[in-house]
Amino acid sequence: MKLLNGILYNGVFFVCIIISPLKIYAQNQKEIDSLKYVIATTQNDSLKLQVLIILNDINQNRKELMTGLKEQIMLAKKLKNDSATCLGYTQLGYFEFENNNYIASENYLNEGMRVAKQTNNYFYMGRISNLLMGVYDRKGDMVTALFYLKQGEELLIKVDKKINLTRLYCNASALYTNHNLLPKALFYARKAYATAQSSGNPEPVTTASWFLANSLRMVGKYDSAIYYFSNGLQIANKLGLLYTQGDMLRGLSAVYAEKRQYTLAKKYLSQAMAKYDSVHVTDRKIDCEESFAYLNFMNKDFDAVKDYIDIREKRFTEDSLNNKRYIYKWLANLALVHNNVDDWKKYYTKYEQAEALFTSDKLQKNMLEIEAKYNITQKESELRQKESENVTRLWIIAALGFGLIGIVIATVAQYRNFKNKQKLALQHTIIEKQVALVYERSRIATDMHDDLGAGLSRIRYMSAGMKNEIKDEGLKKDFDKIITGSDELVDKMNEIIWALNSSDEKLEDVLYYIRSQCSEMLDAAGIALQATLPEFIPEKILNSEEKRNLFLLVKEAVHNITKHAQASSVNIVMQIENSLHITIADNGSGFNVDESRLKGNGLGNFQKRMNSLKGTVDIKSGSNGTTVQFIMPL
Amino acid sequence: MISISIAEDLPEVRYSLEKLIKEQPDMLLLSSFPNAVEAMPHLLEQQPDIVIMDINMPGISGIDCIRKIKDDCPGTQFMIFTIYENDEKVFDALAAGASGYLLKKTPGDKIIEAIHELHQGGSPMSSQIARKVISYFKEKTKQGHDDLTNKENEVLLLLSKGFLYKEIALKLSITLGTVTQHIHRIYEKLHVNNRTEAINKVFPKY
Repeated sequence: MKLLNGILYNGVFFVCIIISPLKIYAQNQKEIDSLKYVIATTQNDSLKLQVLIILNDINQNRKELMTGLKEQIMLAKKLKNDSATCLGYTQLGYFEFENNNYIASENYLNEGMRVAKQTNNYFYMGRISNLLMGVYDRKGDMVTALFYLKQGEELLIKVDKKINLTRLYCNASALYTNHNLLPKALFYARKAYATAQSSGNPEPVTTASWFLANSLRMVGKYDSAIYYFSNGLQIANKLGLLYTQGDMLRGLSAVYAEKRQYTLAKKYLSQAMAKYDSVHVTDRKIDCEESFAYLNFMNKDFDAVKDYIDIREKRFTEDSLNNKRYIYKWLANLALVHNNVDDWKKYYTKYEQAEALFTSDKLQKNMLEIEAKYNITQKESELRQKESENVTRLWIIAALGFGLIGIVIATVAQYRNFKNKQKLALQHTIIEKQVALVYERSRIATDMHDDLGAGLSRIRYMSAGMKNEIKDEGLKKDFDKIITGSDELVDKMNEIIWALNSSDEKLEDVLYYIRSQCSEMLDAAGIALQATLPEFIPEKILNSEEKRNLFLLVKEAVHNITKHAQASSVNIVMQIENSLHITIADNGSGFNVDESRLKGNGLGNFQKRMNSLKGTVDIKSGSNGTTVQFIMPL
Repeated sequence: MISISIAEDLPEVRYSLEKLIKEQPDMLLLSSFPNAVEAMPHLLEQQPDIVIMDINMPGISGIDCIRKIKDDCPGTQFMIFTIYENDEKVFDALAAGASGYLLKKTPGDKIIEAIHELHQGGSPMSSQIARKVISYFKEKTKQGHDDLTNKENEVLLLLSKGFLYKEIALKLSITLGTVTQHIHRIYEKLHVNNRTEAINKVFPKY
């Protein structure tokens, strides 16, 4: 089982997944040359950047693309063009991803994400999330990969970019296919197809068709798979996308191979190879040749398989491990068919050595298990062989033995597959639960704000309506209390939202926010405000707890003034000398500080909040007014 | 006469808004809807001067509704009716094409005042939103899009530092009306830029 189809149709396609299948290899060298000329000669940086972006978009020369992208980022940063910077990082990240260089890819993408976040560019945040999902999946970090899937989905829905959303869903489908969770893969493929169709653009429809068809093929719905592959092929024909046509034809070939219609499968595969050939995509063509060997083998055309081995041996002069793997695989397969046990053992061991470097220890263990089982059946068949001298009988027994081996191997593989699937499914449930939990938390927070807010608004408006209906002055006052009560609750919720949103904030922004809230409160109360903020505010980040406490301290002090002080003006001074000093002085009637402390008024709250900020609070009051000073170490 | 339509799903809130507007001699209540789905075709047809729009409604949100019909209602101004000022969605709505917002706890007379102000070309903006607008335009300015003028930048900067409209007017020696008109212009540019990005699918790759 492992030898026959493990590497073929199920695995191979994932390689092409995140690489947009729509990449058109229409290389127009003339166009590229003229763009390069403009870049080399122009003095205008802005023009140069524009041309670089276009060139980097179409240039297929990897070395040039790499330097081009780095130049683009440098220039974009110089021109403060954040969008072009994001694009550069995204492309670089993608480039490294294609080269299987996941750490570099992650770094570039995170840098791009940082720039995109700074500028609230949800579109790029979504696109980068899509790529990060792929990167983390390859790194084996499914939790983070699924996190980026969700985040990317939300962002791209928000900015309504159907084409990018289609790609995201396609990649999600690929991700689940790769983890053998086929219903999920099908689910995302369907989503991709629906999104692509609603985009009104035929290009994403071809991409989505391919993924939908492939997912359907994986779950054995061959007729539907053929329908979507053919459908995608038609659109790709209309659009003249040769590369995509190749992918579709290859898909059709895979379906027919599984339906055991090898002649048809071979027909489509050779058509696919011709398409890949016409756009010079050699790696894809080599994959096709490998598939051809499989089809020939299944079709019992063993000579063709031998020819294929020869081609492979000749083509690769360098001793690449991957190449060895394929050659030994087919040599072993052929030996098995010819019942040449010694050869089989020899090649199988060599194949195993090559393969071991490719697969994990766990997979290797499974191999040994299969081999052990095979050895037992092999001994049995050897004994039977000795019993008989009749050549015909020998062949029949050998055939029977081979069939038995096949059944055993198939059963073991099936069982292993089943166990692995079970294990994977379990892992996924756990991961998905973790991701769901994070999302659930933030959803509950949002819902709570929305639902509570809506409820409070209803209470408020109902009370206001009733207040107008009645004449009793006492009752009117009660309704007013309900109204102000619900308004205050809404204000509190608003503060919580502020503390939760972008939970870490710069000291500078917090001070500005405090200033704006104080001016609004005092303005509403008809009290003049003189506010002085520091000329220079150092770079310091406050966490949500700190910023909330600091804000509430000042707010409470100002609130007290509007309620009790009967002041006509307030002076707020914020200073920074190692620590932050905030002084709030009013010209009101003042109060007895010690008495208030004994009565347990709001002053105790000050101390509590200040303690958590490790600072001090000082209150002085007299007939000229009250001065409250907070000192918080930075 | 200012023609007004309402989209708000909470019945109590909607009724009291309707009542408030009907009482005004210089305002005309054109229509009132419990959700955006019903509202959209009518708003396109009626083209009211001002639409008071809730954000969270069943089906289509107020933000999406504005995004979808704003360009086809050139004379209409959308005023977001929100519970929380700090809600991230307020900025999204402004970027989608709203030119003002109103808190639900605002008393009736202030609501009427705000409608008049919006109709005369003034818009409110909090310091939080000013900060977001600044970072949004920082990215845009170098792309040859509609740029902010120096005055508009000054107003935004002061707003982001927590100054009130009247303090800004005093500081920049302009009238209060001029400040609100600057803000209104900023919202328009915000919307135009947002739309440009939606149409220009320049890099449809990843």
